Amino acid sequence: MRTDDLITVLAGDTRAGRSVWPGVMFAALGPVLLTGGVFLLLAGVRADLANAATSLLVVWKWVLPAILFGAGISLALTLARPESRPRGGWWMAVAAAAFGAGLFASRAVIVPPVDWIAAIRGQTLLICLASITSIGLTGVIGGLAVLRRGASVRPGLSGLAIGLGSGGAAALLYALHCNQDDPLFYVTWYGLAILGLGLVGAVAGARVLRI
Amino acid sequence: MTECNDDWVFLLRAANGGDTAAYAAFLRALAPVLRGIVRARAGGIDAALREDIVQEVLLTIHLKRHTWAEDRPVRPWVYAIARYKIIDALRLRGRDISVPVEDYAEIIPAEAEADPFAARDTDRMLDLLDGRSRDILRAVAYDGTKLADLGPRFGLSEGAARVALHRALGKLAALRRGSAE
Repeated sequence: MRTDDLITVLAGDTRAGRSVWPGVMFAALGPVLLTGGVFLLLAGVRADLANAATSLLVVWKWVLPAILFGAGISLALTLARPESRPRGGWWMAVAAAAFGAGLFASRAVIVPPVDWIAAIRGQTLLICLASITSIGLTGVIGGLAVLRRGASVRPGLSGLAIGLGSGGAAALLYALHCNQDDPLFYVTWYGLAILGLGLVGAVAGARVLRI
Repeated sequence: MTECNDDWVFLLRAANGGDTAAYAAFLRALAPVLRGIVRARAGGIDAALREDIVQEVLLTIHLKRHTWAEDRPVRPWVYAIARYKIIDALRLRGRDISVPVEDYAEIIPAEAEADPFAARDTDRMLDLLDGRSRDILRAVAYDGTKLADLGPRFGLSEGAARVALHRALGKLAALRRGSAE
Protein backbone atom coordinates (compact mmCIF):
# COMPACT_ATOMS: atom_id res chain seq x y z
CA MET A 1 0.00 0.00 0.00
CA ARG A 2 1.29 3.45 -0.88
CA THR A 3 1.68 5.86 1.99
CA ASP A 4 -0.72 8.26 0.29
CA ASP A 5 -3.36 5.54 0.20
CA LEU A 6 -2.76 4.79 3.86
CA ILE A 7 -3.25 8.48 4.65
CA THR A 8 -6.55 8.39 2.75
CA VAL A 9 -7.65 5.52 4.95
CA LEU A 10 -6.48 7.19 8.16
CA ALA A 11 -8.23 10.44 7.26
CA GLY A 12 -11.39 8.44 6.61
CA ASP A 13 -11.38 7.05 10.13
CA THR A 14 -13.16 9.72 12.10
CA ARG A 15 -13.56 7.75 15.28
CA ALA A 16 -11.19 9.05 17.92
CA GLY A 17 -9.90 6.88 20.74
CA ARG A 18 -11.09 7.46 24.27
CA SER A 19 -8.96 9.30 26.77
CA VAL A 20 -7.32 7.66 29.76
CA TRP A 21 -8.74 10.13 32.26
CA PRO A 22 -11.01 9.63 34.15
CA GLY A 23 -11.44 5.98 33.14
CA VAL A 24 -8.21 4.85 34.77
CA MET A 25 -9.41 6.18 38.11
CA PHE A 26 -12.59 4.10 37.96
CA ALA A 27 -10.90 1.06 36.46
CA ALA A 28 -8.10 0.94 39.01
CA LEU A 29 -9.90 2.18 42.09
CA GLY A 30 -13.33 0.64 41.42
CA PRO A 31 -12.32 -3.04 41.66
CA VAL A 32 -10.08 -2.29 44.65
CA LEU A 33 -12.93 -0.57 46.50
CA LEU A 34 -15.26 -3.42 45.61
CA THR A 35 -13.01 -6.31 46.64
CA GLY A 36 -11.62 -4.35 49.58
CA GLY A 37 -15.15 -3.52 50.68
CA VAL A 38 -16.19 -7.17 50.51
CA PHE A 39 -13.08 -8.11 52.48
CA LEU A 40 -13.90 -5.56 55.17
CA LEU A 41 -17.50 -6.77 55.34
CA LEU A 42 -16.33 -10.33 55.87
CA ALA A 43 -13.25 -9.72 58.02
CA GLY A 44 -14.48 -6.64 59.83
CA VAL A 45 -13.02 -3.23 60.53
CA ARG A 46 -10.81 -3.13 63.61
CA ALA A 47 -12.75 -2.09 66.68
CA ASP A 48 -10.18 0.42 67.93
CA LEU A 49 -9.83 2.25 64.61
CA ALA A 50 -10.33 5.73 66.08
CA ASN A 51 -7.54 5.21 68.62
CA ALA A 52 -5.16 3.67 66.10
CA ALA A 53 -5.71 6.37 63.53
CA THR A 54 -4.59 9.04 65.96
CA SER A 55 -1.47 7.21 67.13
CA LEU A 56 1.67 8.77 65.75
CA LEU A 57 3.23 5.36 65.17
CA VAL A 58 0.23 3.84 63.41
CA VAL A 59 -1.19 6.64 61.29
CA TRP A 60 1.48 5.97 58.64
CA LYS A 61 -0.30 2.73 57.80
CA TRP A 62 -2.74 4.98 55.97
CA VAL A 63 -0.65 7.98 55.09
CA LEU A 64 2.13 6.12 53.25
CA PRO A 65 -0.19 3.93 51.14
CA ALA A 66 -2.29 7.02 50.37
CA ILE A 67 0.81 8.81 49.07
CA LEU A 68 1.72 5.79 46.94
CA PHE A 69 -1.82 5.63 45.62
CA GLY A 70 -1.81 9.29 44.60
CA ALA A 71 1.69 9.16 43.15
CA GLY A 72 1.02 5.93 41.24
CA ILE A 73 -2.21 7.06 39.61
CA SER A 74 -0.87 10.47 38.71
CA LEU A 75 2.30 8.93 37.24
CA ALA A 76 0.31 6.42 35.21
CA LEU A 77 -1.83 9.25 33.85
CA THR A 78 1.10 11.46 32.99
CA LEU A 79 3.04 8.63 31.37
CA ALA A 80 0.06 7.91 29.13
CA ARG A 81 1.06 11.05 27.22
CA PRO A 82 4.10 10.13 25.13
CA GLU A 83 5.96 13.43 25.47
CA SER A 84 5.73 13.59 29.25
CA ARG A 85 8.73 13.24 31.53
CA PRO A 86 7.27 12.98 35.02
CA ARG A 87 9.58 13.59 37.96
CA GLY A 88 7.46 14.70 40.91
CA GLY A 89 5.47 11.48 41.18
CA TRP A 90 8.58 9.33 41.38
CA TRP A 91 10.07 11.57 44.04
CA MET A 92 6.87 11.28 46.04
CA ALA A 93 6.94 7.47 45.82
CA VAL A 94 10.62 7.36 46.77
CA ALA A 95 10.02 9.75 49.65
CA ALA A 96 7.20 7.52 50.95
CA ALA A 97 9.46 4.46 50.71
CA ALA A 98 12.32 6.28 52.44
CA PHE A 99 10.03 7.45 55.19
CA GLY A 100 8.80 3.87 55.65
CA ALA A 101 12.38 2.65 55.88
CA GLY A 102 13.13 5.36 58.45
CA LEU A 103 10.10 4.33 60.46
CA PHE A 104 11.27 0.72 60.35
CA ALA A 105 14.77 1.71 61.46
CA SER A 106 13.52 3.94 64.27
CA ARG A 107 11.61 0.97 65.70
CA ALA A 108 14.50 -1.43 65.17
CA VAL A 109 16.63 0.73 67.46
CA ILE A 110 14.05 0.61 70.22
CA VAL A 111 13.04 -3.05 70.00
CA PRO A 112 15.76 -5.39 71.34
CA PRO A 113 17.35 -7.44 68.53
CA VAL A 114 16.11 -10.74 70.02
CA ASP A 115 12.54 -9.59 69.45
CA TRP A 116 13.00 -8.36 65.89
CA ILE A 117 11.97 -11.58 64.20
CA ALA A 118 8.83 -11.90 66.28
CA ALA A 119 7.91 -8.26 65.73
CA ILE A 120 8.43 -8.43 61.99
CA ARG A 121 6.55 -11.68 61.69
CA GLY A 122 3.60 -10.45 63.74
CA GLN A 123 0.54 -12.66 63.79
CA THR A 124 -1.06 -12.18 60.42
CA LEU A 125 1.63 -11.86 57.82
CA LEU A 126 0.20 -14.40 55.41
CA ILE A 127 -3.30 -12.99 55.47
CA CYS A 128 -1.81 -9.51 55.13
CA LEU A 129 0.30 -10.38 52.10
CA ALA A 130 -2.46 -12.40 50.44
CA SER A 131 -5.18 -9.79 51.04
CA ILE A 132 -3.27 -6.73 49.87
CA THR A 133 -1.95 -8.60 46.85
CA SER A 134 -5.28 -9.97 45.72
CA ILE A 135 -7.23 -6.77 46.38
CA GLY A 136 -4.56 -4.73 44.62
CA LEU A 137 -4.32 -7.12 41.69
CA THR A 138 -7.88 -6.30 40.64
CA GLY A 139 -6.83 -2.66 40.34
CA VAL A 140 -3.72 -3.52 38.35
CA ILE A 141 -5.78 -5.47 35.84
CA GLY A 142 -8.45 -2.78 35.53
CA GLY A 143 -5.90 0.01 35.37
CA LEU A 144 -3.79 -1.66 32.69
CA ALA A 145 -6.89 -2.27 30.59
CA VAL A 146 -7.66 1.45 30.52
CA LEU A 147 -4.02 2.52 30.16
CA ARG A 148 -3.98 0.67 26.83
CA ARG A 149 -5.92 3.64 25.47
CA GLY A 150 -2.96 5.88 26.26
CA ALA A 151 0.33 6.19 24.42
CA SER A 152 3.06 5.49 26.92
CA VAL A 153 6.54 5.28 25.47
CA ARG A 154 7.66 3.72 28.78
CA PRO A 155 5.16 0.89 29.11
CA GLY A 156 7.06 -0.87 31.89
CA LEU A 157 7.17 2.27 34.02
CA SER A 158 3.47 2.88 33.37
CA GLY A 159 2.76 -0.62 34.64
CA LEU A 160 4.96 -0.06 37.69
CA ALA A 161 3.07 3.15 38.47
CA ILE A 162 -0.37 1.56 38.23
CA GLY A 163 0.90 -1.37 40.35
CA LEU A 164 2.16 0.94 43.11
CA GLY A 165 -1.04 2.99 42.95
CA SER A 166 -3.33 -0.03 43.17
CA GLY A 167 -1.16 -1.57 45.89
CA GLY A 168 -1.35 1.67 47.86
CA ALA A 169 -5.14 1.75 47.59
CA ALA A 170 -5.38 -1.92 48.61
CA ALA A 171 -3.09 -1.43 51.63
CA LEU A 172 -5.08 1.63 52.66
CA LEU A 173 -8.26 -0.45 52.85
CA TYR A 174 -6.60 -3.48 54.40
CA ALA A 175 -5.18 -1.27 57.14
CA LEU A 176 -8.74 -0.56 58.27
CA HIS A 177 -8.91 -4.23 59.29
CA CYS A 178 -5.34 -4.99 60.31
CA ASN A 179 -4.49 -4.53 63.99
CA GLN A 180 -0.76 -5.21 63.69
CA ASP A 181 0.52 -1.77 64.56
CA ASP A 182 4.26 -2.24 64.76
CA PRO A 183 6.02 -0.50 61.85
CA LEU A 184 8.42 -3.46 61.87
CA PHE A 185 5.42 -5.49 60.73
CA TYR A 186 3.48 -3.19 58.49
CA VAL A 187 6.34 -1.45 56.74
CA THR A 188 7.77 -4.86 55.86
CA TRP A 189 4.67 -6.67 54.65
CA TYR A 190 2.63 -3.79 53.28
CA GLY A 191 5.79 -2.66 51.55
CA LEU A 192 6.51 -6.08 50.08
CA ALA A 193 2.94 -6.54 48.89
CA ILE A 194 2.87 -3.11 47.23
CA LEU A 195 6.30 -3.64 45.69
CA GLY A 196 5.21 -7.04 44.39
CA LEU A 197 2.17 -5.46 42.74
CA GLY A 198 4.45 -2.82 41.24
CA LEU A 199 6.63 -5.53 39.73
CA VAL A 200 3.63 -7.43 38.38
CA GLY A 201 2.40 -4.18 36.85
CA ALA A 202 5.80 -3.45 35.33
CA VAL A 203 6.17 -6.87 33.73
CA ALA A 204 2.58 -6.89 32.46
CA GLY A 205 2.75 -3.27 31.34
CA ALA A 206 5.88 -3.86 29.30
CA ARG A 207 3.88 -6.38 27.30
CA VAL A 208 0.34 -5.02 27.08
CA LEU A 209 0.99 -1.26 26.95
CA ARG A 210 3.29 -1.26 23.92
CA ILE A 211 1.97 1.16 21.35
CA MET B 1 10.29 24.69 11.45
CA THR B 2 8.35 26.56 14.13
CA GLU B 3 6.04 27.96 11.51
CA CYS B 4 5.41 24.55 10.10
CA ASN B 5 4.55 23.24 13.54
CA ASP B 6 2.12 26.05 14.23
CA ASP B 7 0.43 24.84 11.08
CA TRP B 8 0.32 21.40 12.58
CA VAL B 9 -1.46 22.72 15.65
CA PHE B 10 -4.08 24.44 13.50
CA LEU B 11 -4.51 21.41 11.30
CA LEU B 12 -4.85 19.01 14.20
CA ARG B 13 -7.27 21.27 16.04
CA ALA B 14 -9.37 21.48 12.90
CA ALA B 15 -9.09 17.72 12.53
CA ASN B 16 -10.36 17.21 16.08
CA GLY B 17 -13.26 19.43 15.14
CA GLY B 18 -14.18 16.98 12.41
CA ASP B 19 -12.33 18.52 9.43
CA THR B 20 -11.06 15.43 7.61
CA ALA B 21 -9.37 17.48 4.88
CA ALA B 22 -7.29 19.26 7.53
CA TYR B 23 -6.44 15.93 9.07
CA ALA B 24 -5.32 14.49 5.73
CA ALA B 25 -3.23 17.64 5.20
CA PHE B 26 -1.62 17.13 8.62
CA LEU B 27 -0.71 13.54 7.81
CA ARG B 28 0.62 14.54 4.38
CA ALA B 29 2.79 17.21 6.01
CA LEU B 30 3.95 14.73 8.61
CA ALA B 31 4.93 11.92 6.22
CA PRO B 32 7.98 13.61 4.62
CA VAL B 33 9.25 14.68 8.04
CA LEU B 34 8.98 11.11 9.32
CA ARG B 35 10.62 9.89 6.13
CA GLY B 36 13.51 12.28 6.76
CA ILE B 37 13.94 11.08 10.32
CA VAL B 38 13.89 7.43 9.36
CA ARG B 39 16.34 8.06 6.53
CA ALA B 40 18.67 9.98 8.81
CA ARG B 41 18.67 7.19 11.37
CA ALA B 42 18.56 4.15 9.16
CA GLY B 43 19.78 5.34 5.79
CA GLY B 44 21.49 2.03 5.21
CA ILE B 45 18.35 0.00 5.03
CA ASP B 46 16.22 -0.56 2.00
CA ALA B 47 13.89 2.31 1.01
CA ALA B 48 10.79 0.11 1.05
CA LEU B 49 11.64 -1.04 4.56
CA ARG B 50 12.05 2.57 5.64
CA GLU B 51 8.67 3.37 4.15
CA ASP B 52 7.24 0.47 6.17
CA ILE B 53 8.48 2.17 9.30
CA VAL B 54 7.05 5.53 8.19
CA GLN B 55 3.67 3.88 7.72
CA GLU B 56 3.90 2.22 11.09
CA VAL B 57 4.55 5.57 12.76
CA LEU B 58 1.69 7.21 10.86
CA LEU B 59 -0.69 4.46 11.88
CA THR B 60 0.34 4.72 15.53
CA ILE B 61 0.05 8.50 15.58
CA HIS B 62 -3.37 8.18 14.02
CA LEU B 63 -4.63 5.65 16.56
CA LYS B 64 -3.19 7.65 19.46
CA ARG B 65 -4.17 11.12 18.27
CA HIS B 66 -6.51 11.57 21.24
CA THR B 67 -3.46 11.61 23.54
CA TRP B 68 -2.49 15.02 22.11
CA ALA B 69 -4.06 17.82 24.15
CA GLU B 70 -5.09 20.85 22.12
CA ASP B 71 -3.31 23.26 24.42
CA ARG B 72 0.02 21.50 24.00
CA PRO B 73 2.56 21.74 21.20
CA VAL B 74 2.29 19.06 18.54
CA ARG B 75 5.95 18.57 17.80
CA PRO B 76 7.15 17.00 21.08
CA TRP B 77 4.13 14.71 21.01
CA VAL B 78 4.73 13.59 17.43
CA TYR B 79 8.46 13.12 17.96
CA ALA B 80 8.00 11.13 21.17
CA ILE B 81 5.78 8.62 19.37
CA ALA B 82 7.98 8.61 16.27
CA ARG B 83 11.14 8.07 18.29
CA TYR B 84 9.61 5.18 20.21
CA LYS B 85 8.18 3.49 17.13
CA ILE B 86 11.31 3.93 15.02
CA ILE B 87 13.59 2.52 17.71
CA ASP B 88 11.12 -0.30 18.25
CA ALA B 89 10.84 -1.07 14.56
CA LEU B 90 14.60 -1.02 14.02
CA ARG B 91 15.29 -3.05 17.15
CA LEU B 92 12.76 -5.67 16.17
CA ARG B 93 14.31 -5.81 12.73
CA GLY B 94 17.66 -6.48 14.35
CA ARG B 95 19.19 -3.04 14.47
CA ASP B 96 20.07 -1.18 17.59
CA ILE B 97 20.12 2.46 16.63
CA SER B 98 19.67 5.34 19.00
CA VAL B 99 17.40 8.15 17.90
CA PRO B 100 18.21 11.33 19.78
CA VAL B 101 15.03 13.35 19.66
CA GLU B 102 16.65 16.76 19.83
CA ASP B 103 18.20 16.22 16.42
CA TYR B 104 14.87 16.12 14.67
CA ALA B 105 14.57 19.84 14.21
CA GLU B 106 17.64 19.73 11.96
CA ILE B 107 16.34 17.03 9.72
CA ILE B 108 15.28 17.98 6.25
CA PRO B 109 12.03 16.42 5.18
CA ALA B 110 12.65 13.80 2.56
CA GLU B 111 10.77 13.78 -0.68
CA ALA B 112 9.91 10.85 -2.87
CA GLU B 113 12.55 8.31 -3.60
CA ALA B 114 12.13 5.78 -6.31
CA ASP B 115 8.38 5.54 -6.59
CA PRO B 116 5.97 5.18 -4.88
CA PHE B 117 6.41 4.86 -1.20
CA ALA B 118 5.08 1.43 -1.72
CA ALA B 119 5.64 -0.29 1.56
CA ARG B 120 5.34 -4.02 1.77
CA ASP B 121 4.38 -4.70 5.34
CA THR B 122 0.98 -3.10 5.19
CA ASP B 123 -0.08 -5.31 2.31
CA ARG B 124 1.30 -8.38 3.99
CA MET B 125 -0.62 -7.48 7.14
CA LEU B 126 -3.77 -6.81 5.12
CA ASP B 127 -3.63 -10.39 3.94
CA LEU B 128 -3.60 -11.55 7.54
CA LEU B 129 -6.67 -9.53 8.52
CA ASP B 130 -10.12 -11.01 8.66
CA GLY B 131 -12.00 -10.73 5.38
CA ARG B 132 -14.26 -7.81 6.15
CA SER B 133 -11.59 -5.65 7.77
CA ARG B 134 -9.36 -6.25 4.78
CA ASP B 135 -12.09 -5.47 2.27
CA ILE B 136 -13.05 -2.28 4.09
CA LEU B 137 -9.45 -1.02 4.23
CA ARG B 138 -8.88 -1.87 0.58
CA ALA B 139 -12.11 -0.21 -0.47
CA VAL B 140 -11.09 3.04 1.19
CA ALA B 141 -7.43 2.91 0.17
CA TYR B 142 -7.68 1.75 -3.41
CA ASP B 143 -11.19 2.54 -4.58
CA GLY B 144 -11.42 5.82 -2.69
CA THR B 145 -14.68 4.72 -1.11
CA LYS B 146 -16.06 7.42 1.16
CA LEU B 147 -17.26 6.61 4.64
CA ALA B 148 -20.85 7.35 3.61
CA ASP B 149 -20.63 4.78 0.79
CA LEU B 150 -18.91 2.20 2.95
CA GLY B 151 -22.11 1.33 4.78
CA PRO B 152 -24.26 0.40 1.76
CA ARG B 153 -21.37 -1.47 0.18
CA PHE B 154 -20.85 -3.72 3.19
CA GLY B 155 -24.44 -3.81 4.37
CA LEU B 156 -23.72 -1.71 7.45
CA SER B 157 -25.22 1.42 8.90
CA GLU B 158 -22.94 4.45 8.65
CA GLY B 159 -22.21 4.26 12.35
CA ALA B 160 -21.35 0.57 12.13
CA ALA B 161 -19.13 1.27 9.11
CA ARG B 162 -17.25 3.91 11.11
CA VAL B 163 -16.70 1.45 13.92
CA ALA B 164 -15.66 -1.29 11.50
CA LEU B 165 -13.08 0.96 9.81
CA HIS B 166 -11.67 2.06 13.16
CA ARG B 167 -11.46 -1.51 14.41
CA ALA B 168 -9.83 -2.66 11.19
CA LEU B 169 -7.06 -0.07 11.69
CA GLY B 170 -6.66 -1.16 15.30
CA LYS B 171 -6.28 -4.76 14.18
CA LEU B 172 -3.78 -3.71 11.53
CA ALA B 173 -1.68 -1.94 14.18
CA ALA B 174 -1.88 -4.96 16.50
CA LEU B 175 -0.76 -7.25 13.66
CA ARG B 176 2.21 -5.00 12.93
CA ARG B 177 3.23 -5.02 16.58
CA GLY B 178 2.85 -8.77 16.75
CA SER B 179 4.65 -9.48 13.50
CA ALA B 180 7.64 -7.49 14.58
CA GLU B 181 8.04 -9.47 17.78
